[in-house]
Amino acid sequence: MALPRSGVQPAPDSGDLLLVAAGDDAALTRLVARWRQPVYALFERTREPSAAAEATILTFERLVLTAPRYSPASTFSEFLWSLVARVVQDPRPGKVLEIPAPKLAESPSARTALVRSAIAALPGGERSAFLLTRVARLSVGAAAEALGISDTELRRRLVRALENLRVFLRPLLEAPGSPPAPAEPDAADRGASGPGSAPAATS
Amino acid sequence: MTCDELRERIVDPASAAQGGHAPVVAHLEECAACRSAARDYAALDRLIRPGTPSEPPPDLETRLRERLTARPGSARRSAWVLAGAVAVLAIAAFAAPRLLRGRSTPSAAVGAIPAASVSTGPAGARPDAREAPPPDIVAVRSTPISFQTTPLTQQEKSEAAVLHDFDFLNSFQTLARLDAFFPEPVGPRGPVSIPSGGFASRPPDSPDALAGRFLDWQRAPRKERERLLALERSFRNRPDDERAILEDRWTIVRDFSDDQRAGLRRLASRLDDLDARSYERLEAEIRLIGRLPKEARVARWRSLAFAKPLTGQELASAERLLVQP
Repeated sequence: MALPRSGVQPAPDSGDLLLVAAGDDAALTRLVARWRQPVYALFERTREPSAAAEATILTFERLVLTAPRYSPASTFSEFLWSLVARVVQDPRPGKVLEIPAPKLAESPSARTALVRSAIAALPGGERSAFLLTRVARLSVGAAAEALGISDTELRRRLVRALENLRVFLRPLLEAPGSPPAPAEPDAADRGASGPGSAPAATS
Repeated sequence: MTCDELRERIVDPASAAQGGHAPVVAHLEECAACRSAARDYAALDRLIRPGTPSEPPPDLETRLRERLTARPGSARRSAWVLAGAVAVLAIAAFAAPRLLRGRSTPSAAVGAIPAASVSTGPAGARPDAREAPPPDIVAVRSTPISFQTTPLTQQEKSEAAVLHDFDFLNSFQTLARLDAFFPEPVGPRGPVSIPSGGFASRPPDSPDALAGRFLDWQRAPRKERERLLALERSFRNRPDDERAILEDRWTIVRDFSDDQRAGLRRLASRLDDLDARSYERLEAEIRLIGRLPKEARVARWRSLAFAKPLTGQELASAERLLVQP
């Protein structure tokens, strides 16, 4: 059974964000350790690893800079994902890569590149709705709060995003058998050490 | 229920349950287009879900902190600069006499990483008062800032002192994959003369550089230290001539911005994706571009099929390489 949260003691992430606002470096280390993976994973679905790392750093940089404005009335998760959403929405829609079918069939990295370019080709609002719900696995309500829109509007954006992706990713959806698994993250862009432990999101 | 209503319900499992599943099922039974959409939505979900969790690069926090420190006027920058100045003075005061008595040359530093190749004081000696770390908490404009305060051990200092420039270590693997953009490929051919003072990427060999290195090492988390040590080992395991070529390449890219270095990494990934024949063709084309006058190189480069799909970041990085002297 989950223990009830104290009405006085803020949740760990919220408390750490308040400490970050006060200049506590250890609190920043804890927040980064807990949230770096889910944030990076979201960006990595739409950008190459090095660009995803840059976007992750930008998000945490904005987190530190805006921490003094954080109000514990809202959840840390909402605060963080709203920052992520702004970074996600920043680039203008790109073009979907045109990759020959044989190349798609034989190359996992080509499939990953196509999926990334398709998500990047979505309009910003649809892209953020899609990534927050489908990759970060936020509920529609939580994603709508992070984006500052209604649940209904979020569902509409999500449907539009999925309809666009059906078109953009038709070559993969029509491939025989189940959709191919995306390629693993590019190890060459991720430095020499192995993966770290999975973060435990706490609020 | 219309098709639009159905699709808005099936994209949100929570709302799909509201009002019961019967209307959803009834609509799907009648509407082939929505059945197809539902199948595709599920397939798209599988498509975008990674097989294994994507892990961010291990130096992410270090880079974040560098970014925060570099922001002009930031409290962190002020605090870190203040603490850095205090610590540099303390360490330099301690280390300078010893270094001036027995300074190692850059070439002597190349080889297996020694356990204690740099003497920074007698083993087991009590920490000197001059090595005292900065206080746990200092206040800048009433904002408390904490620091890692654990002093480095002799072994940690020895490890840190023989490492090459950290930015270089983070980049040399990329540089090795960018043969096409440099006059000499990494390999047995390509003798590179070592500058008289050593390459810019050499391990620290002045009191100031060493003091800065110790500060960096003190701040580096354990994982980051392990990563850098692994990179150093990987670099030292390369043949001498390859090491010289990579350090020489670093002299060209060391002034690149973070953005341009990111562009180089992405460019290297693009080259990795080429098959052997396409790579050879591209390499030959770039060699030809290198013989053109500088002002003509960019236009010729942009006309290559390889350059067409590159991002602005990748193009900028490549073009900076191509117009190097």
